Amino acid sequence: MIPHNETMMLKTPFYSRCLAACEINMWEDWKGYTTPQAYTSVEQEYFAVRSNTGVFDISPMIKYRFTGPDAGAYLNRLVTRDIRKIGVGRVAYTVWCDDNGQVMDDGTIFHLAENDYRLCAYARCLDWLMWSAEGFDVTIVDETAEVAALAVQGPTSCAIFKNMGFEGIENLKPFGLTRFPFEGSEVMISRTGFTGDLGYEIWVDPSLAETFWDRLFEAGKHREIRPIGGFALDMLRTEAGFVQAGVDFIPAEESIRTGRSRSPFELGLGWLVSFDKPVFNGRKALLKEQKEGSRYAFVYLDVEGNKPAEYAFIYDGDKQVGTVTTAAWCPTAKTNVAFAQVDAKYGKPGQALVAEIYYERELKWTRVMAKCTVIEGAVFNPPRKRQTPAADF
Amino acid sequence: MKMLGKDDMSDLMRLALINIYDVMEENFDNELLKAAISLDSLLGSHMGPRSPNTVYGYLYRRMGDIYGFRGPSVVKGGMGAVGEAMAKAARASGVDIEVGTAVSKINIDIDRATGVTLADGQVINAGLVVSNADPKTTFNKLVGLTNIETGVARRVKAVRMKGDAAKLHIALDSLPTFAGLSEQQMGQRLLIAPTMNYIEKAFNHSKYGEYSAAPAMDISIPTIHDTSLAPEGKHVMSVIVQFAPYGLEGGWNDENKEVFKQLVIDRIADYAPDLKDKIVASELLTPADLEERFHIHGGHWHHGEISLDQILTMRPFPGASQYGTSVDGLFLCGAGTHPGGGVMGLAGHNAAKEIIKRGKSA
Repeated sequence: MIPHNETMMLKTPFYSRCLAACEINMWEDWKGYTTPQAYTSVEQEYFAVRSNTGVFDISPMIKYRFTGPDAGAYLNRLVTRDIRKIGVGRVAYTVWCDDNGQVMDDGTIFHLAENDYRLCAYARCLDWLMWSAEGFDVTIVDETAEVAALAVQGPTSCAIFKNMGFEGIENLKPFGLTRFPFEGSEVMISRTGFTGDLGYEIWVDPSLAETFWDRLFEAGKHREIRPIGGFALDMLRTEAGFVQAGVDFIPAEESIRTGRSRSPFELGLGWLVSFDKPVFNGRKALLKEQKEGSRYAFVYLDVEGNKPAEYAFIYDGDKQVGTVTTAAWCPTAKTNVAFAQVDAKYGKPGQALVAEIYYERELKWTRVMAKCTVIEGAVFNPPRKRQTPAADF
Repeated sequence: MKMLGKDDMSDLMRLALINIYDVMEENFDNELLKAAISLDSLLGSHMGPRSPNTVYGYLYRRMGDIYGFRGPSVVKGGMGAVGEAMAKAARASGVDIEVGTAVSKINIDIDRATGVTLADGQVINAGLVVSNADPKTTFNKLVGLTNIETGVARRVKAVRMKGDAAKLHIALDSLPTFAGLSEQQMGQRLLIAPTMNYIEKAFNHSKYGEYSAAPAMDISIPTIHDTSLAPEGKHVMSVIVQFAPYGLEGGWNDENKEVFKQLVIDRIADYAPDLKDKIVASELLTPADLEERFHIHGGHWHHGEISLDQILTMRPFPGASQYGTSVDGLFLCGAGTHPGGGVMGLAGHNAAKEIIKRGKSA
């Protein structure tokens, strides 16, 4: 008999390999799956991605498949970006909104083939997807458990894939996807990720997951490949300037209190909104917001000192004008970064603000009023991220 | 409601949320009276006397009282004459009315109505489109759910409007004999609803996709008041029959329709034994027929259940009140909007006022 506590959490197709590698036994609940927060040391894992290659098990990511003659039109009504511009073999980052123009989630859309798409999301939203399907000839399947996926990120990732025999992988452009034969089946590889570095995500049938992991680590052993957990990923995405649903914004459907959700403009994601396409969810509200102005601005802050501005209030003089959603010392950029939501008028690059930071050392709490400046874009954005063919590090 | 005073207001709030069965039991002894009032509270709806919202249904039916209309009236020339009279008045004011060709589509440019396309392919451009089709027909068929945002599409889908009333028309060679009724009395509404439980049992069938084995009926013989509706000496009988669910298990077909029609006629004949000998012709219109013939989704004559969750700003659904819709330049004016159907024209009147009020911004 299996003890009940061993059946509570779902296991990803890579679980056996993650378990063997997870030396410090730190696990977290990611949408029902148990996944490592860290395997050995967070810093080592972070630097694996910046200097070599880190492997992150993204299998728990919610994945939906859309097929049928209206799949494209359906997605175009669902999300804010113009999906007509995303060709077969391409991937697009986007957000989707409710009718009030409030962001429900962000994620990526993979145009796998004609009339065939995959959406990767943070939150489960099958109910919303089904409601949205009224009138469309589209079939929607939750394939979260049917696809095993790994993020393989870092400067040596391309070289490791070449070692595995994936010839020509270096020519894959950012946000492109391709397929290679693998063990009598195939593996799909996209040049996508959440680290802001050169990197890929691989998508295989769960039955091939462990074999893929083993072959990958064998091919990468001379290039210091190592698995990474959620903590290191959080540092990486902060340095790369990526917002995290549930952390930097509350998905509209999950927010209970009025006014707590945010529009794409208020998350600095206005570039994802295309008014130049047929009607889409939130269009009317977003047009109005564009005309009348947003309530909030989402900003990247360069914070003085090295104390992460976690949970800090943001001030303009004596006036509290915002709060921090994400903060970290970024080791490669050597910058103390914070993401903050501030009143709209404080959102312009160059704006000087103050972060009220509390930190503790051996039960002694200290308060720092750290100067900070609104900066434009991510603090880590190396050419190797975009360079095609990818460099052989 | 506050003007009612504390006691009456709390009583109204209590009554509005319970059902007509309980209210009748509280107030009356006479089974026939209780059943008659109950039937009025749910005519045209998918409810039995014990269903919530029936008290509101009754109040709604009596709304005309405040305008001095007490009880049903018979229109000279038949119900169609109301529409004719309105059309005549509109034409006299310079309105062009085109009839005979259905609108197949409301044309939209992203989120603004630009006109309509007729069934024959003709496109008519217009700055404003005002639809008196029910909300589901308007959005499902004419606008298309793919052309509106998900939240609105979802609300359209959630509107409850499954018709449960059939209409029986009978042409009669001469006036039948209802035991104990004079000819003048036969000109009143004749109800077959002996007890509230009779109606409730009739309703039970429809909950499970069956037509009533012993239906409740509201019978009128308009030719007693208006001889122009039939040749000299002949009569017509019009019967509202409940319950005949729109979603009949297995669907309506000629066969089960005929069986149901005979069942209804047999039931009337229990009270008017010579009825069958006098029938010249008869037709039964189920909610499915009403949908097909009059393009009413679900064959629901109110264009949406009259219930507390679908009235006032929630009619036809939240976000589409004040007669406007999420599609700029598209307005609704039919029974699906506040204050609902019945032959009163208030919805259209209010819609016109709203459109005029908005002026250019409409």
